[in-house]
Formats: sequence, structure tokens, C-alpha cells
Amino acid sequence: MKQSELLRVENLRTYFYSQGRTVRAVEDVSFSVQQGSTVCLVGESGSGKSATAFSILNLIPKSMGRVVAGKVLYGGEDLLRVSQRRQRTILGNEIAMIFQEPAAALNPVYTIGEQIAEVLRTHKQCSAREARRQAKAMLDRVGIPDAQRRLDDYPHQLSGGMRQRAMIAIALSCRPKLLIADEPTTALDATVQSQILGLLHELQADTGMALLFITHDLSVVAEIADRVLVMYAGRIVEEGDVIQIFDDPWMPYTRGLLKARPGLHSGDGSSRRLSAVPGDPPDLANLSSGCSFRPRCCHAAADCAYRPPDLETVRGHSVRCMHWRQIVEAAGEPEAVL
Amino acid sequence: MNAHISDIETPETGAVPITNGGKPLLEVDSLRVHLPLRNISPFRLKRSIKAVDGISFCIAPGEIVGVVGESGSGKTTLGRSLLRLVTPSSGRIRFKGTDLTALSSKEMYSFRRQMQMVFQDPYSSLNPRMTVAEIVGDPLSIHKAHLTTQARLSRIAELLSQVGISPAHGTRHPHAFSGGQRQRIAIARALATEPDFVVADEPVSALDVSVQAQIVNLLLDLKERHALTILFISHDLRVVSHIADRVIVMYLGKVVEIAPAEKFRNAPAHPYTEALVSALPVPHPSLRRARVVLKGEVPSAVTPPSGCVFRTRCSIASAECAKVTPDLRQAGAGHWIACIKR
Repeated sequence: MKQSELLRVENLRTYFYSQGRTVRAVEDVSFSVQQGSTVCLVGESGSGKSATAFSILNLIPKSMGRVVAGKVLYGGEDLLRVSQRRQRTILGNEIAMIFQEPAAALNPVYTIGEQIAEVLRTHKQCSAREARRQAKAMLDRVGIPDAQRRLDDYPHQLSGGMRQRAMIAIALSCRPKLLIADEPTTALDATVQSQILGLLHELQADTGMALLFITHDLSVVAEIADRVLVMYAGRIVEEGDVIQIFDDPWMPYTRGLLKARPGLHSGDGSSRRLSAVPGDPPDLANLSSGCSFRPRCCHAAADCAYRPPDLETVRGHSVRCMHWRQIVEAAGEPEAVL
Repeated sequence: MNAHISDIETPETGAVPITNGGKPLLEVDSLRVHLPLRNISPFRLKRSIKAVDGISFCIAPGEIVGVVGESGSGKTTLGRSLLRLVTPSSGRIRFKGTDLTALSSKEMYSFRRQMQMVFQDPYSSLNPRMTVAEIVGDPLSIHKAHLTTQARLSRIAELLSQVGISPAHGTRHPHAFSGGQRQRIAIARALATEPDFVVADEPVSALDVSVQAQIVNLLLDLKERHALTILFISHDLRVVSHIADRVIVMYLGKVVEIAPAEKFRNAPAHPYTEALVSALPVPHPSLRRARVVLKGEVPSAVTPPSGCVFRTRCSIASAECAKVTPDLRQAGAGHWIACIKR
């Protein structure tokens, strides 16, 4: 399948300022999203994955921080430097976003129908009647039963899964080319999560939109990703195709994360202990020198403290670790993760 | 499977599945917790949420029993009612032979020492105004008031170092700790009174994946060292099947399956358990597949479906399922399911 680049992020830096401290949430992040592909941004809390998404849309609240450097190139334009008016015609229209907490993202005083119609009327200049007709079609499309009646429901009248479907309906009503999804299934039950992932997959096949999916859950990544970006302490520490990441992870952090997951079939043996990554996620305002994963890394050597490692790319697979070759060689073939 | 049934002891009371020959630490018999809803009108029928609706099971000493189910299935209410943090509407909870539901709150006091709880969210379960040493020492001052100050302090230090927190950090407040460290502190607090039984309600759900594994390992270590019995409540099937000896599957306030962990993993019998396992995301991209997706969502616990509560989402339900309420029946050694079709 021939693909072409839809979005390119270059050397993005986003800092937050709080209580006199500078929190380097996003530090020199570059990646691109191909048309129709699914890119997963994985990381723990505080790794800068949501800050990256908000920076792309230029939605970082001014009172909290700002994008201090970098470019977000979309169709030849830098989204960080377009006029507000131009930005408004792109967001919600060509690029849409869905959030973790649909209850917080939906407006409680407007009905679902009004909230979908608003997007359509703003971007597509539809009549009210046409907007309502399309809103109903969208609710049908995302699998909300009895859509005609649900149009007049308020968000609190829907369950968590239904709210997330409604938010997807709003985001997709203008047929965006890129959907940014920030942990859209984290607050949902596994059964509902699999419904929503299936729905996103279907809609993607239908409309050919690209998906930038932010998650902390590697199983979700295994389920949907084409390309994977692993973030740690504001930086991309590994990037590759989904098979590369799961079959042959290079970065000690990625290796640790993959091993730390309990498998459904892993408890049969005598030991039920999991192989944990020691230590705690880093404090972004107070990072250690050199490699930011060094304090938790069991392979850390003296030279890891001198300078942050560069991102090294071999055959489309990138890693930010000085010793990855030795580490991968010493470990031998990765165990099958099942 | 039928071959097994003959050589397994029949439960003594109604439908209390006994695990093995030994004396259970905890016996739960037909437990019901109905939470009343505020009445809209005095002329309307009184309504209640049937959070736990007739549940029976046993826990043997030293066992880790997992409870899984979707949100709203009643797992948390079950856990809280075992410690009588929620008052059961009916049924019995026998702990070491004593019926807890018959005790006055004063009599319950001494049992609380033996039963403790770890909560899901370590950000809200620790008092932000207390130091860590005060938090861990609080149960001691209530249940072990006879301790001298010196003995108390050394016990606090011992508890903190047991969970991997430096006792020197005891003077800090919870905000100075990460989520994983806070959960360690909450575990230290639960262990302060040397309980026999701990209810852990989603203890790792709020934590990052790399830290989850640390807490699971800590619980396993502590279980070994203190011969703890743990009821481990979680919506995460992988974590539960990993840590538990047996798994209880709940749906809409009822138990639909009780299975040894390896049965639960490899051969779930109830259609709901099957659907839960099938809904798990694959562990590796090469295993992507079409799956049995459970349609719809959990019905209201105020007006649950008649007969089998799962029938509205079940792929093998028939007309009969609406009429008959399935009881738990034995499907193999230590394996119980509530389904008339399987």
C-alpha cells in the first residue's frame, strides 16, 4: 500500500512552568504519521505523551506552559504558527481529538445531538435540519442503539461506553484525516474497550483516516498499531514497526515494560512473581544527568550519566540507548510473549 | 467433566462451594447487599440497587482469591461488605466460625484488627495532613494501644521497611511520594494490625504498568511471610489470573463462575467468562484476530433481567434462561458455574 505523509512533528519542545520550576514535558520529539496508518504513542504517566498531543493541536493552556520550539507540519503549514482563524478551520474538521474522560469532554448542558450538529454547522455550514440528520447518521454509525431518541439525551443519560461513542461521533462527523485519541479506552471495561477499538478500526477502514493513539497499555498497542513510539521522560526512546517493537525491542525500558506485563498464561509455573521495572517514573522537573532512564536501568554504565544518548536509527527502528547492541546481544532471543 | 463430580464432597449448606477438605477462614452464605435508592415519591415502590444478590463462597486460609467483573458487577460492594463497611441486607459472613453479621459494632471492633483493606486509589486513601509514620501508626494506636512509644515507633519502622519504604521518610507527607510508593504505604497500614485477611480492592489499577508488577510482587512476598489470605478484586483479568489461586467471576451482583486460576485461564466454562477472556487485547501483534465481542452493556442493577442475569447479552441464551434462575453447580474439582446451558 502506498502511503504518504500526513503529519510531521519536528523537534517539538513543550515546557510547563509551575512554582518556579520548569517541567520539560516534551523534549525534542520528532515523528511522522502516514495517511491511513495507526501510530501508537506509549508511555507511563508523566512521560509527555498527552502533552505531545496537546502541543500538536496547539492546545497547551497559556497559563500552564507553552511549546518553546519545534514545528508541526500538516499539508505544508506549520500548525503552531497558523492564524487562530485558520486553526479553527482545521481543528475538529481535518484533525479531531477524543479524550480519556468523555464525561469531562462533553458539555453537560447540551444534548448529544446539539453537540454533533454544532461541529457540522461550524465546519460544513449545514442547515440545522441537515445537521440533525447527519448527527443521527453518525450515532447510528458508532453503534448507539435507538439513535433518533438518543439525539435528545444529555451526556449524563448515557453510560461510559455510550459517551465515548458519542464523543467519537462528534470527532468523526466532519470525516477528519487524522484522529488523535488520548487514552480513549482507559476508563472503560475490557468488554467495552474491545467494542470501541473494533469501532475505531472499522471507521478507519471506511474513511481512510490516520489515527494517533495515545495509551499506556501495551496490549492495546499490540491490538491496533502499525507504528509505535515509546516515550520516557519527555523523549522518544524507541520507535519502530509494531512487530519490531514486540519481537525485538532494543531499549531496556521497552524490554522491561514488555516483560512486566502479566500474561493470561504466565501464572502456571511455580513462580508468580512478575519481572518488575524497579524504581518510580521520573520527576520531569528534576531529571538525572545523561540518560533519563539510567536510575531504573539494570544495564546502566558509568558513561550513561555523561550525556543523553542520541536517537540511533537502523532499518527504520530507532532507539535512544548507548549500549543497546550489547544488551540485545547478551539477552539473546527474546522469550515468546504469550 | 461428569466423571469428576462423584468424587467431590457435596457442600454442607445450601450452595456454599467448599474448596478443599480444610476448614475455611471465611464462609459467605447467600450474602445480599441491596442499597436503597432515594424515593422519588412516597407512593412509588421502594427501589434498591441489588449490588450483591445472593452470593456464596468460601476462602481457605492462605489462599488468594480473585474477584473479576465489569464495573457495576458488585465486586467492590462485596469486598466492603465482608468487612462490614457496608451492612449486608441478608446472608451470613462467617469468619473463623463467627458470624460477623450477628455482631454488634462494638463486637466487630476486635475482628477489624484481623481483617484489613487496601483501596484502589492511593491518592485519596491516605490523609494528606498526616505524616506517613502517623498513617501507618494510626491502626496501632487504636488496636494496640498498650504499646509503649518506643515499641510503636520501632513497629512503624519495621512496617515501612517491609514494604520497601525507608523508615527515615516516615516524617514526610503522602504528597512527597509517587503512586507506587503511596500504595506501599497503604499496604503497610493494612498490615499494621497483623491481619489474617486482607481485601485488596483494585490495588494496582491506578498504577503504571512498570510499578504494577512491583506491587503484585510485594503482595506475593507479604502473603508468604505473614501467611495472609487475600481477596484480590480487580477488573484486570491478567493480573488476577496471575496472582490468584481461584477466581470468582461476578456479573450484576451474582457469581456466575468460580474456577481454579488455571481453569479460568484455559477453559472458562460460563459464556460471560468466555466473553471477558475473549475481550482481552492480544499480547502480541501477530495474534490479532476476530473475536467474540460482547454486545451491549451491563443492565441496571435496580431492575436486573429475570432468570439468568446475563441472558440479555449471552450468545447461547434461550427462552428457558428467562424463566430459570441458574444456581451454582459443580463442573469439576473446585469449579462451579451458574448456567443451565453448559
